[in-house]
Parts: sequence; C-alpha cells; structure tokens
Amino acid sequence: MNKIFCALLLGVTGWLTACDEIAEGDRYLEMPAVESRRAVLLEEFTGQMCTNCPEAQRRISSMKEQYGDQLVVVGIHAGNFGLAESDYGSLGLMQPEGDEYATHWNIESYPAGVIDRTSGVLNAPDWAAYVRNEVTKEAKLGIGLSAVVTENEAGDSIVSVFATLEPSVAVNGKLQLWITESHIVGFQIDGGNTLTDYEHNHVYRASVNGTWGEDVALQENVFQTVERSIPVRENWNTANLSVVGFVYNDAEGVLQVAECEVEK
Amino acid sequence: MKKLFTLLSALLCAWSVQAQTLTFQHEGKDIENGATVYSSKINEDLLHIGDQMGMPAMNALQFMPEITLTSSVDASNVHVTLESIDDPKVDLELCSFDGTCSSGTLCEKKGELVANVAVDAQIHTASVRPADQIITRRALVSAWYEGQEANKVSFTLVMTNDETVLGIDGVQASKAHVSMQGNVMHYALDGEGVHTLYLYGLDGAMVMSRTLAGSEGQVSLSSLRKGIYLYQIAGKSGSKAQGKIIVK
Repeated sequence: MNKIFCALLLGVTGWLTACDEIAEGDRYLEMPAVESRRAVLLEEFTGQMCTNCPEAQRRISSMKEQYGDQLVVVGIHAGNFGLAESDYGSLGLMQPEGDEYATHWNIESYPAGVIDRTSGVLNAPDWAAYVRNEVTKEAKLGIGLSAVVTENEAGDSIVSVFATLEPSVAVNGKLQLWITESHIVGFQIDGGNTLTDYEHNHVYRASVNGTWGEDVALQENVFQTVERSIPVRENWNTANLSVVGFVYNDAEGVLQVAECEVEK
Repeated sequence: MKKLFTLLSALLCAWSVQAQTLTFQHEGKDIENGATVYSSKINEDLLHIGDQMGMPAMNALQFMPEITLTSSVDASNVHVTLESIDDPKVDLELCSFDGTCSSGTLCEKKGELVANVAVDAQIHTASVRPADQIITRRALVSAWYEGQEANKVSFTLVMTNDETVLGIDGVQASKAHVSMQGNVMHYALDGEGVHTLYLYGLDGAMVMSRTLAGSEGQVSLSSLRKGIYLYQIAGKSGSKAQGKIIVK
C-alpha cells in the first residue's frame, strides 16, 4: 500500500513539475533595465536662429560627459528663434509642442533651461550647479524603459515603448514619454556664423502620450507597466531615436527620468 | 578748507560722470545721440540656406545691421534696450550683452563692457518669408550706465529694403534727374557749367567728390562699399540736386 501511495505521489509530483511546451520566441522575456539612481531632466529651450544657443549645447556636452545617464537632456526648439517643421520642412526642428512648453515656462530669452521642473527658468551658466544638487536627491521610484521599431497591423512602422514604474513610495503624477532624435545634421546660427552642417542632439520630436503626459497613481512597492506606441514619421531617422520617460507632478517636479535608445 | 574739499569733490564727481561715455557705432562710425541710421544689410545666407542641403531654399529675409556699442570706461551693468517704434509694433531680436537672445517688441539687456572695446549689439529683425517682400522696421536703440538712465544715449534705427525710404527719394532739385542703374549713377542736369558730385556716408564724412563732365552723363560707384550714401550735385549757382542712394 505504501509503495502504491509513494508511486502515486511521485507520479503526481512529476506531472505537476513537468515542463510545458513553450514556443521558442516566448522562452525569454526581456524586462527593461530599471533606473533606480536619481537621474535629472534638463529641458533645454533652444532655436536654430539663436546665435547663442550652440554655446549652451557645448556646455551640455561637458555636463553629459560628467554625469552620463544620470543627466537626461531634451532640446526643445521654440519661440521666434525656432524654425517650425510645418513651415520649413526637414530644415526646421521646431514642433508645435515646443511653443506650448515655452509658453508654459514663460521662456523669454534663449538659451534657457528648466531642470526637473523645479528650477524655474535658468540661464546656461546656472545649469551645472542645479544639476549637481539634483543628482544627490533620493529617487522615489525607478523607471525601466525600452523601445523598439515594429509594425502595426496595417504594416506601418511604429515605435513601441515599454515602461516599468517601480515606486518605493506612493506617487501621484503624470508619466510623460517623448521621442527624441540625435545626430541631426542641419542648419544653425552659431556665434554669428551660419552653419549647414551643425549636429543637433537630443532634439524633441514628438510626445508619445500627449503634450503633458498621462495620469499615473502608483502604490508603494507596486510595480506598474505601461505600453504605448507612436507612428514613425517620415523625417525621423530610426537609427538615432531615443525615448525619454519621466514621472512628474506639480508639487515635486520630476521624480525620476530615464532614457533608452530605440531598437530596430 | 571744508568748502574747498566739498568743491573739489563735486568737481571730481562731475568729471568722473562726464568721463563715462557710451557710444553706438554703425559700420564702425560713431552715431550721434538722437540721430537716425538707415541700414539695408541683410543676412544673405538665409536667402539660400537649404539649397546646399538638398532642400528647398529657406528664402527668408532678416535685417542685421552692423551696430556696436563702446564704453569709455570699464562698466558692469550697462543697460541696452531695443524697442520697436512701428505701429503696430513688431518683434525685434537682441542677442548680445548677456549671452542670450531675446525677441519681442521691447528687448532689454544688461551686461558688462570693457573700456574702448566695441561690442556687437547683434540686433536683428525677426526673419520673414518670402525674402522678396519690401519691409521697413523702425526701432529706438538706447544704452545707459546703471543708475544713469537720464543720461542715456539713443538713436533711431531704420532697417529697410524699401528704395523709397533709402533709395533716390525726393530729389530736391528743379529740372534735374538722377537715377541708379545697378551701381551706376545717371544724371541729367539743367543748365550749363561745371558741376561736382559729392557723396557722403551716413555719418557725414565725404567719401567721394567727382567733377561731372557735361550736364548729362554717368558715374560708376562700384568702388564704394555697400551701403547708403547721401549725394549732392553742386554747380556754380549752388546745389542742383541732393538725395539718398544705395550701393549694392
């Protein structure tokens, strides 16, 4: 009897622990790497007709060398010094949202920066000190971000974005996902000189989830995943696209930001 | 003794204030306080940008006059303003003095000047398209030392490609005709006798004088720098014609 029972028990155990047949493509689920160190967002307001702006961008390059992934920069072309893509075609880098953001922050001169949406408007010489202070703050959440170019059902190219939010405290705010593009070679006035081979980096191209993002209500230690997509536009070079994702609210500004390259 | 000291102090203060002088220049020539300066200088790159890049040409018009500001002393916090005086007011651009570019109907800047070093004010109009528009922008440009706005220096800046504004306008002469074809001035004057053509820059300096052969003829001005000039044609009986011309 005992032998029968043991055999039955072993059989059931074997049945419960047997491997399922899993399709090859589903065997590995790659989760986006989660950024848990505090990263800082610099929204740089700039323009192709702004002769002083390239100097600020050279300053940003130095800051990026110092802080690496802990500093996420987005160049927002706006105002009278921007060239609207709607007017100038591929020559122009300004999107309609650029003016909306510039108006919200009351940008009156260029270049100007807003850091973590808590600094107010800062001139370029003041950016480094504010960033230095911000990176030392504790991160209340981690953000994992990944993005890939795929096709939708109609066969059109889209950028699919996957975000994982890992809050260590309860957070109410908005999740903003932006598409940026780097290594755009084009027109820029620099110190009085007109350049046609200037390399523009971290340029704001579009918002994936609305101009001001979408509401998120995060519970302490409860992870949340978000999946969104946006059609690829004709003048984007998908090899040079990135996604910037950040969570912010009006009271605390940007709580965390992350950036990833868009995979093809 | 006290009175002497007070008097000396007052004189010293008055002298130090007078010694501080802000001066605007147009194309290197000093602008008199209260003067009107005309400029047709444009950013020619904006006409064709795009062509070299395989894209439609930008075809934008932007005036960028050569205006500089000099202080006779080292000075921090020199105030500069650029104000549209058109009706309605239009946006202008001021990109110097503090490392930023401002745009609006009134641009205000504050910055540091080193004694006797001319600083490019980087005054522009907002670019417009297409570039073949005829436009005129008028602005009041002012500068003063901190706390001395009452002693500010100012001038009116007229940026235009309108030849009725800066071209041969109001030829003030009877029975005289002067016209420009390219950079060649054609004249037809009434009466006999020797006439002399005088050309002056906008700062009043004479740049050319030429005895004219006969009452009709032409004079090539292509040796002159691009810009606006005042001309006067004088004969024995006094001035025959005067006006403004542009050398392109």
